[in-house]
Amino acid sequence: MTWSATAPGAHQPDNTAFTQQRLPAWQPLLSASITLPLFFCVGLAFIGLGLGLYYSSNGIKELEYDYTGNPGTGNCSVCALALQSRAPRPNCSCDWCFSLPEPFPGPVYLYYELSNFYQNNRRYGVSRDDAQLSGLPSALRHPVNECAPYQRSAAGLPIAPCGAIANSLFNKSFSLRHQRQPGGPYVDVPLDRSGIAWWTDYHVKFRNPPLVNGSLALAFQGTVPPPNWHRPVYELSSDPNNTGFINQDFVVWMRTAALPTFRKLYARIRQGNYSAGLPRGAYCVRIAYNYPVRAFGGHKRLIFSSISWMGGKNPFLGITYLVVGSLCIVTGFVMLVVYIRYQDQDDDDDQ
Amino acid sequence: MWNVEQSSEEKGVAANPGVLIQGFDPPHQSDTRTIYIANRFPQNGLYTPQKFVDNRIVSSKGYEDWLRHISDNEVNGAPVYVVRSGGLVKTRSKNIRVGDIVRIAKDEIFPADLVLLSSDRLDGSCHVTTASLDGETNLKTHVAVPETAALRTVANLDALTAVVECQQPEADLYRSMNTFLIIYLIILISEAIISTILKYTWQAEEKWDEPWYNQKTEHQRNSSKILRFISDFLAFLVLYNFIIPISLYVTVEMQKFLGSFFIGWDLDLYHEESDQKAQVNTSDLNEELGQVDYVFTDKTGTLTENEMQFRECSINGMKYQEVNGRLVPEGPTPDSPDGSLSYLNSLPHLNSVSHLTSSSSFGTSPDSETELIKEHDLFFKAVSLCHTVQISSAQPDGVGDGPWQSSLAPPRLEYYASSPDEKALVEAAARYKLLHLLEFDSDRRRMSVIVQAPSGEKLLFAKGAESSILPKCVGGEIEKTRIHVDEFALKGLRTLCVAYRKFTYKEYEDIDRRLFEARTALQQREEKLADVFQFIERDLVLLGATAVEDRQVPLDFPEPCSSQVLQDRVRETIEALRLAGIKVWVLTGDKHETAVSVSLSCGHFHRTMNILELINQKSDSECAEQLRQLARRITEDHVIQHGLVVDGTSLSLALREHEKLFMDVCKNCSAVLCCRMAPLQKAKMFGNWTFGTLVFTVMVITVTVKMALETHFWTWINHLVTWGSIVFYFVFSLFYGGILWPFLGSQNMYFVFIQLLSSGSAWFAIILMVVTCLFLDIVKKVFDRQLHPTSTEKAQPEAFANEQLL
Repeated sequence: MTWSATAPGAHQPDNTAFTQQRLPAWQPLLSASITLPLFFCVGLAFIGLGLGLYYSSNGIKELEYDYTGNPGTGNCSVCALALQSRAPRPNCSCDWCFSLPEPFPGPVYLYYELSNFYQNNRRYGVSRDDAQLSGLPSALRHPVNECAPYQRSAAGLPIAPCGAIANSLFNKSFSLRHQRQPGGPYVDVPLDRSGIAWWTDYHVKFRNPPLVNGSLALAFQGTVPPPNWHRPVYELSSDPNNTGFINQDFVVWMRTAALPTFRKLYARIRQGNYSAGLPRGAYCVRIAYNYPVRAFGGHKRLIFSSISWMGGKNPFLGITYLVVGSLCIVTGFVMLVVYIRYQDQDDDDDQ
Repeated sequence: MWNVEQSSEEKGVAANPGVLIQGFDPPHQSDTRTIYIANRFPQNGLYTPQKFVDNRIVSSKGYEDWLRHISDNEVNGAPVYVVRSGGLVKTRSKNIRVGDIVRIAKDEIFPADLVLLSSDRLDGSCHVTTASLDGETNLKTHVAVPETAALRTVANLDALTAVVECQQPEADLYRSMNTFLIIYLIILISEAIISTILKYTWQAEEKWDEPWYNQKTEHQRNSSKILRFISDFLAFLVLYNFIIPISLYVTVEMQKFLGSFFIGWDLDLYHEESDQKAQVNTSDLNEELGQVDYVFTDKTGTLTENEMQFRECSINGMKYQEVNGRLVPEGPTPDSPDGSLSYLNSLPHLNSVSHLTSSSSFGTSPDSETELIKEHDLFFKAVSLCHTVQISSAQPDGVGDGPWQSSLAPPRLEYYASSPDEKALVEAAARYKLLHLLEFDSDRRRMSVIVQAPSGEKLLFAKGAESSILPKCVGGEIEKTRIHVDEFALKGLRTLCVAYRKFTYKEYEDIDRRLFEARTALQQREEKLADVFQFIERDLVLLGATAVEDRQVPLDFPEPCSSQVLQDRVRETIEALRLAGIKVWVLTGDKHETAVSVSLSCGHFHRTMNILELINQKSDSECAEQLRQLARRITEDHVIQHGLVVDGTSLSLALREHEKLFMDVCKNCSAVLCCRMAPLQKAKMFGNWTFGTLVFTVMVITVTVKMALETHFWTWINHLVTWGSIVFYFVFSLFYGGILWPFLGSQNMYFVFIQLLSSGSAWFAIILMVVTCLFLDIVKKVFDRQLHPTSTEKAQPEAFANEQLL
């Protein structure tokens, strides 16, 4: 300990509110008079919110069809069998026909659902090259090693887009026809396939490589499509704004799902006569059946759904809110009882 | 080993810097030039468990470490003399290596852990103080092994080849922390094992392991199953490692570090007279300061100033009092004409030693004196001879200068005693030849010297606690002295009894031989020595008793000594501690009555306190019965504060068989006084008790739960930090991601964040989860408050109401 040689008081600490810990302070007291109303308020608020969420979720209409084609479940089983038995890929398609006695309120979203499909498997989830997908020419020729075994073809050419995710792209197409009057002609319902991906994914994250002589095909020269694909990536669509890496189906597929049962948006119905929803009548969906899921016990479903202000159908959130809200109120009552009894005791003590 | 000072720099190689090292303290001293082997133990192995965490908190310790580093540098750079290549080499202390032989001169600090090889004394002894380690100002005597003690020249020492066998240093530090770490580690490892097993169960089916959409590469298929299993296990280990709350630990460290600044800033901890503020040497203990329940204090030097002053004595059954530097008989003295005590009156103040050396009447042949004077003479001879005080010259002397020669130059003398009492009772006695020294130890509680008087007769003088001297006495005024000793003790004076024994020539020969045998014994030397001591110290003739005052304010006694001072404001401090709910234990080696009266005078015990006593317990059953009685008394009169007095023997009985019962009693006492404690018992009490673990458990629970939920006082800083951190999280995530995405097309965070924030359900889910997580905590707190409010909480509503009224 050195003794100061400087002026007395030189080492005296500052007498400020901060150093002396005298800052104005607010002290929360968890006393019954504060917490009880708080609990009731929170409980009521949550119950109200939960009811709102629950009903708006319940108000969402859904129409669902399992077209996996397990034996005896409709006309898709033929295709399923055909897909299993024959090595050359058959061009099989099946129909799902249904009638709407009530109009289906719009806007209507068309989803496909896969179950038992583990997009969240780590080996699967990392099997992609984001640099390649963002259009870097160097990455296009040299996909990252994570893409293996879908990194290079047997001939040693780079695969574009590489990786297991791209390789397993859901390649089914649906078309919807509507029969207004019984016995009348079927008309095609326009399916809006644009704007189904995240804006940021479509505009920022996914980019085509720079065109060579104005041609996307030349830009992809020297690469091969993933082994499961029938056509190269630049032929995914004839629309130049929807082909290559920025094909919206592809972009949607590339954002992997967190759970083994997941839905992905296929199209929106919001054009022409159908902008307000699907009117009454008979409908038929033609399904081009060529995605095998029975090998891993999966299911495929097709879903028509309307949406509410808070998104798609999700009763769980509303129910949880209701549970927590009621829990708050019950606890509030218990505390009230304890409080009253305790106070009596307290009074007794005082006497 | 007395010296454990190892600086961060030295240790930096071995273990983590700073974290485990105690602050550097003022010097240890040695009184003679001594030569040591440097012996630094490799300590890194010892601390591996801590390293686990410590690696991560080095940053917060960095500042303190740096400060310490500065002082370390001074120490590490200090010059030391080391025997190398046949000569003394001057080097810096950081260059000392294991196996070096170091020369330490008088008053020098030990630069490392050392083993004494030889000193400039013929017997190879040296005296060491460990004040910087444990606050004990006593000089501890260390003696070199005779084989090496003979090596007194540099050349001889350089040729020495020796192997030092010793214990590894023990570190109890951080043990409770390690228990938590081990529990967390076990949880972590079992989690990883379970996950790995689940993974392989799930993968057992081909369709899950390798569906068509997720093929493996050839390499993955062919890799060794065991290797894959291990790598999976390690991957899970990494995934789950967050369950060890390292970040919490870092936060706590940070908190402690900042808290240490507030301690320094505290005006209440500022000492105006010396213009010093509180200095925090290590922030490790900050939070424990607030959780201290028990304070164990030594009496001497802590409560009192450790400045001994001779007060009274009882010689041959007569009491004398010291008044203005003279000894005056006290009370009715039947046969004490002033004249016969003339030389006593001329005796100056007893601790002005230089005068005593030249006291002419002292040490003259007793034959010419009356019988009374003879007793007095013997008494003072005993007092002056029977001590371990070492005289040493302050002048710069070379190796080989004997202290005895320089003692003839009185004005330059310095005294080193192994006990502060002795220093007060010193009288030099150059004419007596010291033959043997039977050192003080805490089991015997006495020490003796065997001297050869100028007349040639051999005498043994013994002094010690009255309980250890009186039973050995066969002659002298035993009963009267006993009464006097009790009276002294009641006045709060430290008492010592003095006795002597005359040896015949034959007896001395026998004793000399026995002592030599015991001292040179290779095995069980301690036991053998104890036996010999026991053999020698018997058939004593009691001479009298002395009473020395350990300076203090006996506020409750309006006695003449009230002008003297205890340590500054001991009373207020103890009172403040009691108000803060801290229980004070005073441990002392003093006699029961002395201890009680000191306790009363320093405010440790109150007059209003219900004083319980657990003393003079002889047997287990008796002790248990007494304890039960005390426990009953505590429950019956529960209004009064309780104080407990325990003595050493009763304490060891109580701790051996009835620990739980004893603890129960102790917990209910706000003041405990342990008297007649042997140092060993002091140590055992701290070790036995689980206070450390207890405090740590409380800390971990408190920190974990309360840091999340409990902020008692919301100043603007709390608001800023708490809400600010949430805001900062959002802003930073958006800002950072937003800035980077033009450069990294594959940037994920920003987009995901944007999508998340724009979704209503996400917000609902966030709110819900936060509320659900806090729900139980809040409910628990409210119930606790309602059903078992703490005294602070009871006080809160009133304070709150008052505040609102204002």
